[in-house]
Amino acid sequence: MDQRVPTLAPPGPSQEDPIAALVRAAAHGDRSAWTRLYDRFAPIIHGLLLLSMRREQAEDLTQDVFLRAMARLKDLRDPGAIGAWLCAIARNEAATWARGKGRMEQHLTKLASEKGAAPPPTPGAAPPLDGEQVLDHVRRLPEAYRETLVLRMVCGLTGPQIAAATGMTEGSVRVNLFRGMALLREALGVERKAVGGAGGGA
Amino acid sequence: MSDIPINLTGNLTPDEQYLWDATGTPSPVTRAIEAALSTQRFSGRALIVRESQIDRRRWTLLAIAAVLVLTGAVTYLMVRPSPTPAVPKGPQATWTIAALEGTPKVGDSTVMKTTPAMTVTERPVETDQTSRARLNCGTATSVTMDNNTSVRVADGNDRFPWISLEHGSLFASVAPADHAVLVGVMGETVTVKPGTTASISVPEKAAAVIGCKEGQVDIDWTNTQTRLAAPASCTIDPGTGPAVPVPQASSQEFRSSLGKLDELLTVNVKVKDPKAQYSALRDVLSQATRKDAPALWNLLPRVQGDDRVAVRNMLRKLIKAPQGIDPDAILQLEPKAMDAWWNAAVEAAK
Repeated sequence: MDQRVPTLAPPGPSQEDPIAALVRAAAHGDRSAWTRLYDRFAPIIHGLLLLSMRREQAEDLTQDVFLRAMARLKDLRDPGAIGAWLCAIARNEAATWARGKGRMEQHLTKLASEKGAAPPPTPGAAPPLDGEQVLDHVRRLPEAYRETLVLRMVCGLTGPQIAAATGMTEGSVRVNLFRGMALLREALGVERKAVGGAGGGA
Repeated sequence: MSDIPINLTGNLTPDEQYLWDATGTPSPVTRAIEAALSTQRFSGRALIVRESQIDRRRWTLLAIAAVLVLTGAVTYLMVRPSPTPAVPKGPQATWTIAALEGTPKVGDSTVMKTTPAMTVTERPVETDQTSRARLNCGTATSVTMDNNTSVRVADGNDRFPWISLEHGSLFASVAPADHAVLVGVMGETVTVKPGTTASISVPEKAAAVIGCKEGQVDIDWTNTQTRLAAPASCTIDPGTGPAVPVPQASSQEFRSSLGKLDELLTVNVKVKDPKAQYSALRDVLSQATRKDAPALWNLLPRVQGDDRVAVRNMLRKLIKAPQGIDPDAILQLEPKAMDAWWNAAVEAAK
């Protein structure tokens, strides 16, 4: 599969943290450092925002998150924690968006999906391949599961990378990932048989 | 939770291994889901930064400009009648107004009984102490404005029209078709569902009151859902949000206990007084009957931990559990399970 996997693993004890170095450079006005941080983290931020809005809106707001972060970089005490910090800003931005101009559209989308929901798929049938539809099912999962699933399936991060990016323990990520995926399969009407034993192998 | 077994310990299957660190072999379903979701990935759009956003020497000027802009924005927000939601894409709702009594106003225009039904745009619609008006959106949605009421029509779309109730009272009626009306109340959203008749009042200096006479009303408040199944009522405090809706059939004792508990509950905030809450919740649960099941459902997202388990257990005692739903799933507030238990609670309370 096509993967665009940002490197988020923490450095070894004797290594200098490259992300922290980039943050320090960016704080001193190094524009190329900002660009590299953006390239590294924008897909993750975009993924988190996708849980509250459409893809195009998430792209716009991703920019806003980084511009806001630039203005508040001095508030970041631990440069190595910029991933979790950006994620927190993104969640706040998404919440603000949802309470403001996005609130109405969110309701309309939710109501439309409630009233115009497609009939349940035939058991054993292949899941829908429309990305927006699958994403809509992800959005209806419990909060912890949907964020982990998006980071894994949309952004292409691995479990350990998700833990590093969000500050969650690897155990929590694993629980969220497996349970979230099971619920998503269930929501899509995919039975275990059709998975070839998902939960039971490929 | 799901009835699908989850392997959280021990050896991972190739599919689980792939999910975890992308080293295993994904199942066809995982592959299909990932392929579908990959269409939603970030496009790689470059960050557009003006020099001024990097140059620290300009921060002071930017800060001053920001303060000026914010001051202007705050002033605007304070003087305008009410926030108006963004207009969504899609077919717009068309509202028309007719005078029922007196001479209601649409912006500066006066509507008389003899005036043919006129289309209302984003201007405020107002009735005074001698006038009442009816707003219609298509044939499915009708909103009757009582005396001394002000609303603002904010388009929405034709299936889900949206109005904002600034103050006063209205009665909304939605036909049992594929429509609903969204009413902005104190900055939050009240959804009057299909087949529903509901009254909504926003007094000048008091909590809003929602009365559901027929059908169902949903209230969305900081991600905590509140639902009313007729006949029931609920208040919305601008600071703390909706109270737990009280079914009309509930006993006076239950209402009283629920009121005491509700004072201790604050949505999305840590428990104010755990001991008092524990005691109040026990009173509520000991007095609950089947008729109170919808109220208990509304308590689920408002309490945590053992308290939520206690509410769930009482629901299981009072009503028939929905089939095919893991009873633990409502402890996680999983939407599908919550919907199923809501339907069961409403059915049991009839």
